[in-house]
Amino acid sequence: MSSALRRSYSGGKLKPKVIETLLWYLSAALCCAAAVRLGAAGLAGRYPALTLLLLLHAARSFLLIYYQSNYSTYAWVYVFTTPLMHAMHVWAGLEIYRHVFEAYSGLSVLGRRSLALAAAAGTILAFGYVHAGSRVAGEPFPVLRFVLLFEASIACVVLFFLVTLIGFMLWFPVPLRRNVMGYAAGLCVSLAMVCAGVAMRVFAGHETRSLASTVIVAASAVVYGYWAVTFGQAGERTLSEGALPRSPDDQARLLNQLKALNAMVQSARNS
Amino acid sequence: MSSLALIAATTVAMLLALGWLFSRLVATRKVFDVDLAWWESFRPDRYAPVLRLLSPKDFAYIAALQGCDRGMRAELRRNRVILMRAYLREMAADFDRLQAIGQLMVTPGKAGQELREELFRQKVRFTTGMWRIRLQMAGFRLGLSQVDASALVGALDGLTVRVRAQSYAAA
Repeated sequence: MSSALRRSYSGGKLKPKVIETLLWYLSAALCCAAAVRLGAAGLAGRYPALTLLLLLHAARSFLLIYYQSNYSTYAWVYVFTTPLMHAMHVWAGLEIYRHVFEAYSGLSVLGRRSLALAAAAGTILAFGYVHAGSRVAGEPFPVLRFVLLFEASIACVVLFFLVTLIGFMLWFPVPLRRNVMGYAAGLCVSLAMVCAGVAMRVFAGHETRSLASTVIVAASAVVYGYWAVTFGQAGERTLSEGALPRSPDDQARLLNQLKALNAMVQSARNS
Repeated sequence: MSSLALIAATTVAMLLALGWLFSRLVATRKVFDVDLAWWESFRPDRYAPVLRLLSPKDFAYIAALQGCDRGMRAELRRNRVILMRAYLREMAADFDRLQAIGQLMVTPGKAGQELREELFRQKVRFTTGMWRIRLQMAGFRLGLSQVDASALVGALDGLTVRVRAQSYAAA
């Protein structure tokens, strides 16, 4: 399977480098579009981590595109901006958590201890990933591998945290806004593809670099495109509005029903 | 299997799992479409039978009747277990509806901290109660244990009272 995949990918018509570059440009453009969409919908203040993540990602992409022919500068820009991007991913994960449980801020089970526990479990998973990755022999660029594994470990921790959060919401459903759901789904896919792309590059050898990079930018393009299309004021409504029987009319109707029931019971006793 | 194929398969599995999780998450939103007719007609006492459906007293009484053989007793136990399962399914659905109503009240400014804590506490109580009953029912079928549904009914009663009180207070 893998050899067929490699042959079709590296041979002839597909021109992987061109596809990768086009997807990269598309991803950067869609990232800008998503940031503009957030700002235009007046949601930038509501989702500061996402807005900043999109802006920084777009700026980083344009900087890397600008320096792509100068390998040394390109590498330094990549290495120095990686921690910043992943700090943004952590902030984005915490922002989703805050939006999901904004009405439950005082609930003890959702406190710092639970957060730390979920992060610790994710860290153990990430440690396993990094440990396995660092033992692969024959890596020609050890520094790059270190950066990639750092990237994947943060992605792994945030992804695990978000999946745990979703698991909790399946058990304890809370009203959720469409934008928050889309935000979480997009971030999960993006992080999962970072983990997968880095795994390809680290475990399957450096010759898969182009394929790994294409997978990551293609996923990013899909996610940014999805956010650019779906984010808006309409998405600030919860997925299901629901209706509460607590208006004065509803209360009067309930009381009338009770009175009717009492009258029925009374007449049954008298007869 | 080469490492690239293994990674590709893992990635597809991971994406499918994420898709499944999010589809389930979207599906759980339906519980918030609360039916007013259900809310008005719901009484937790409709679940009073679960307290004695698998009561040993009933089985002892039936066993003492003349002409009641082993096959009849086994059939009765089987039917009661089927009924109990149906009740538990209904009960879980009603509990989720009550939770949904409570959570719609929890959105900022509509209910206090007490209700938030209560919703979570009752959810834990109901979930543990449900698992305990499932284990007890497995034991019951093997003749090893009895079934006590009082914690489960108590959680449903407690939540109903709390949500109704909040509903009237908000009116």
